[in-house]
Amino acid sequence: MKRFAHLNARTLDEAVLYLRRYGGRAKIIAGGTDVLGRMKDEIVPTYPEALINIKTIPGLDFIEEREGSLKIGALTKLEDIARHPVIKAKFSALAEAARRTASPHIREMGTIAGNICQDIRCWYYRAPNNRFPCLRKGGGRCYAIEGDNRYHSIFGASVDGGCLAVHPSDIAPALIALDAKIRTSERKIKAEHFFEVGVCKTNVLEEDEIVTEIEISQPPVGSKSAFIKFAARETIDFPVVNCAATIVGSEGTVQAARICLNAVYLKPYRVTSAEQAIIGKTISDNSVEDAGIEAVRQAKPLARNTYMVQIARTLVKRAVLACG
Amino acid sequence: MKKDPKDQLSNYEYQFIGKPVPRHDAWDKVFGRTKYADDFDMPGMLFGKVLRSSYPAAKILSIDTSGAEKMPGVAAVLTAKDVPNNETVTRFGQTHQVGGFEGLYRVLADKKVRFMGEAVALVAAETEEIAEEALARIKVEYEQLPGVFDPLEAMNPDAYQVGEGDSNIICNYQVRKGDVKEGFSRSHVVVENTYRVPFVEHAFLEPESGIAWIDDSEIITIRVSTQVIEHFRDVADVLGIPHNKVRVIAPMVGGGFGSKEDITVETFLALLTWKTGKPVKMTWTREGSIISSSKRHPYVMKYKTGATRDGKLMAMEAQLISDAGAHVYLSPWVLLYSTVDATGPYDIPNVKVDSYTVLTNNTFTSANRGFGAPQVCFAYESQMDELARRLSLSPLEIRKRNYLRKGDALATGRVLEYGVETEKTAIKALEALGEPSMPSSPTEKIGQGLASGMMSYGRMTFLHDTSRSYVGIELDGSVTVRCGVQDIGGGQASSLASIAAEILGVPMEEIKVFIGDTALTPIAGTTTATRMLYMSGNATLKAATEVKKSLLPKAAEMLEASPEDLVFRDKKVFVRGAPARAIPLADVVKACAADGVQLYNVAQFNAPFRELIDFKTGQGQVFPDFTFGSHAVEVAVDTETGKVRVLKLVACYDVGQAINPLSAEGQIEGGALYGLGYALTEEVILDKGITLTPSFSEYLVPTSVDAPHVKTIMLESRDGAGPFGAKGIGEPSCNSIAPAVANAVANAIGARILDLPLTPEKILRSLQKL
Amino acid sequence: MRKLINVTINGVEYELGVKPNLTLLDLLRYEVGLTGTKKGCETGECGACTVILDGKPVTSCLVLAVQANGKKILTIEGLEKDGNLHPIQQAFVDKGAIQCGFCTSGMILSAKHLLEQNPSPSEAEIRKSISGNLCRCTGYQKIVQAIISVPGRTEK
Repeated sequence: MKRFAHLNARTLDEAVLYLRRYGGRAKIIAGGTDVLGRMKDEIVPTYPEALINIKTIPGLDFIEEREGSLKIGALTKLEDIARHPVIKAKFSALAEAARRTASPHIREMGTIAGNICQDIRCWYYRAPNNRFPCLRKGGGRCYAIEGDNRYHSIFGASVDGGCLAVHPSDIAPALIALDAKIRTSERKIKAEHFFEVGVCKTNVLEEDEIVTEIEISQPPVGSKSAFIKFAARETIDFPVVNCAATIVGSEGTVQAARICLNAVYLKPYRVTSAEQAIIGKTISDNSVEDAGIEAVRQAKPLARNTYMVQIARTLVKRAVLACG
Repeated sequence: MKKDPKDQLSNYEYQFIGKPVPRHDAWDKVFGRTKYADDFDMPGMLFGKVLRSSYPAAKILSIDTSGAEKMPGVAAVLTAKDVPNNETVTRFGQTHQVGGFEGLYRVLADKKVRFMGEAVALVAAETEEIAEEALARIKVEYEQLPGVFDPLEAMNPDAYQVGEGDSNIICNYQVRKGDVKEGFSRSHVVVENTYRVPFVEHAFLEPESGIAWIDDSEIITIRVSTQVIEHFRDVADVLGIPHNKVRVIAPMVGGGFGSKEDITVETFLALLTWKTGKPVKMTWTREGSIISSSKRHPYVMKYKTGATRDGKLMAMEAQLISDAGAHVYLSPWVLLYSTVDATGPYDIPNVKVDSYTVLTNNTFTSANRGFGAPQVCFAYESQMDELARRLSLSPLEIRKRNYLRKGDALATGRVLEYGVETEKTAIKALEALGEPSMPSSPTEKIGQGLASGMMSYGRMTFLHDTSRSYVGIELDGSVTVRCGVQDIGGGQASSLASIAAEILGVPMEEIKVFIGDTALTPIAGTTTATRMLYMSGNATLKAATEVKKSLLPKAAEMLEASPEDLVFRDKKVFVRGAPARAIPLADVVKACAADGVQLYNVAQFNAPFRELIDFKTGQGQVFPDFTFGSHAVEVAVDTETGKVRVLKLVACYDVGQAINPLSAEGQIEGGALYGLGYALTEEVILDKGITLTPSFSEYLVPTSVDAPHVKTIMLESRDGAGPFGAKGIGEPSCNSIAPAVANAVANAIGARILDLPLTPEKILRSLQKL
Repeated sequence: MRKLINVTINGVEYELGVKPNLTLLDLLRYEVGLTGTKKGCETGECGACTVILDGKPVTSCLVLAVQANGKKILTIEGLEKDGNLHPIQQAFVDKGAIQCGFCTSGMILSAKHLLEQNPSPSEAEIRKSISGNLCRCTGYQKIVQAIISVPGRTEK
């Protein structure tokens, strides 16, 4: 790795102050599993001058139920989330998403906030030494359009109409399906509004803004959630497609539904059409089939990723079924 | 069930051979004490780095190194012009001059680059950081050239020329036996398919690494992770110095799988240390390793196979085209393996094989576990199942009707002199697989598959392969073996200890095996071609036997017995049938030493020497012997996602004689998973010559949770060319997995996939879900 | 600019000046000389660099040395006691779980963490616990068998 300065922040204010001082030339480091990989490979032409360590800020690593909500500190490790009895019992989509993220070692290091703030996946974008100066880096074009796009967006492009990368988080769709809120040093945002697409940007955070806490309201009576991941291997891999769903049912009928796919578009992709397809119905092989079909009705697959559409459809189906 | 005594693992007549014992290198490895290449430092050492080409095909217009040279802490910046002999014609460590094909070995790209990742310049600096920065300051001006990335395209006479020659076709072989036209006309069923297999990364865990220094007698010494210490000759040729001025030491290697058969860092290190006079260390990053080291050859294989109504094979015609990538390296030899193995372990009266290997601007391809055998095995075993399906025969039945047997001849005319137990391996593998499991859901389909394989062990006989080993007995009765083997993790060194222990009756822990040093150990050849046990095992057996022989007269005299009646065991010599009449081995040794008896022996083992075969007909002997075996696999296919789970995997191979069953089993289990990755997830993906899979998050090696339990059944025919009747197992163990999986998937979904790996995309397409 | 850190490695306290861009892996290997921890990929995907950091298995290639300040680190060299093998090490030797040996340190440390958390893991749990450690030689089978055979493990 090239040189950089390393600053331990002792408070949130101090971390924000550092970020302001460096004005975009510093990066936050928590678990480090994404940011250090990016820096080692020098995938973007710019290199941070400083890393601001927020692991030294006390009070950001917790899981607690308070004021009718589940609260998870930004620095909470994925492994702790995966093993937490309350999360496993009441927020199973999140527990399962955490359990299926990366490898056991990475889950002991990676944090929940780091996971949702991680950079996108695209083997052109991620190629070491800025080998493909693509659209997302402010370059001229998206290499995946004509290149090998077997792991790219099935719902079209974004960023000036071009980027076909996908968001790789397993946690993000679970949070959206659970209608979580993300608290930052500045504000509280609904999880589904947190992700935003832009050049070198995956979320709405300002340069000096830091995620501090995830908040999820107690699930309503009769609700269930599930997360399903499809990847080439049973561990380590980023998803080819994943899907999280929350279904609120009453007397066998679906009252409300939130279904979110990821790794299919540059940001997590909530499939409201699939939700509509299932609301008012009982969960059955037929109704989930419809939800699956609706989920991918708008799909615009590329030359090499039609199979992802079929998988997305299946995962929506199975995620809803798992909530039955 | 009646057990065949040959199948038993325990061998009552041997004390060490056939006994599962921990390998002597295991202790250091669990303590973390083994010093691999990168674990070794020298005072004052510099760090070497390689500047790699940014393009797969380009002209180098200029290289300006002045910016890098000026940096404080930079000791050397080298380009092609600084290399005494930048281009050498290499015969890859061959000790025998052979005709045919010679690879150009170019140390640093000169005027033209042929693949992305090709070395263009070298830097040595005081720290890694400075070296890295220096690389960034070397200015190379390129003019991009179109390049060619598809071997079929590259074969066209008007294609872009990858090298400096006038054709991209490196070589072509033919096998001709009988008359295929006639054979097909007498076939009731003819199956014709085109198969494709991808680039494969070796994915050893230890990246290429080494350190070089000049010792006080001006010897360039290179301690390097390698499968071939004999590259000292090539290094000396590059530097233009006598061969005996370069010394190569191979510490324990953290996995090779064929990629450390070619030169990796050693020439770079030698050049940098020779220029600076200082020790230089170089370790490649994983990305550097993946983009610039050799890969397994992708092949396009057109197969046409015909059989009679009762399943007897009548004719086979195959066209094999392999992608050699940007440089020749071992491609001609890999292709020759594929060509000879193209029929598989079957007796076919009419055979026609045409094979080509072709230059492209992709990463170069060379040796990879299996060396051309797994590619054709995928094709011929897929063909067998297709024939069986068309003829409504079971996969086992059609194979049984066609397996080659001992004494039969291959299509190349070579008569199989040693054990051929293919049929037995197939029967046992299927038996152990058992009844198909029940699907776990309505969308899941279960399938079972069988595949048999044939792969040689020992190098091609026209290379006139030899190995040497020193066995010496010390005054205290302990034993020293010196043998220039490279131990890449297969237990290459430990098996020599077992052999010496068996012959001299000395416990394993009192045997020290010194390996891999061109200055101090007799040259034993390469750890490649599944040859080490066969070659160096036989050499060690011979040397140990000679040492024993030289001790016998004295021992007989001391015990007042006849030499034929003496037994060496437990560091004692005793009279057969009268264990009480024993004397310590050390006493015999001391008495021999006093009498001036030679207490060591250096033996050489020569493989059969043959001349080059006729490349127009393929007739002749290419290999000393083959290892035969079968894999049986059960899979579950998720028909909605295309995901394949391997539920059961049985490997049954005839190992001849397991020297150490723990090691042999380990090879079979590891080989199975190596082949499973090939079947399901592994693929180096290139986009116009640029690697899109430069890390383990894109190149998908099976993990512990993807790996099924491998049931290993080892047959011991004791009918191999190795010591105690052993055959080689390292590479053959991975041969027939991929087709077994493909056959199981075809059995599950009722459709055949002709390309590896069997990705969800291909499976869903075959299921017509896309 | 070097920063001063205090770390306890295998029970020994160290005070070290480290550069911010130094990883814990490089600190262990090149500054402290504990080369039993291996460098296989440098991006957290192979597990060869696994160490136990404050009781948790981590890939030391993705930990900055400065961030190990005040922490306890266990490496493969810290496992033996008075020259005796740890039972997991012994099991790896006995069961032939070792081929090239490059994954061995990481595998053993992952196994140690597992057995501390769960003295009687099932085969599936064992496979999961080492799923961040790649092995290219063994097919994992003898490694799993070795962990199963560690004394004190009770059948589930």
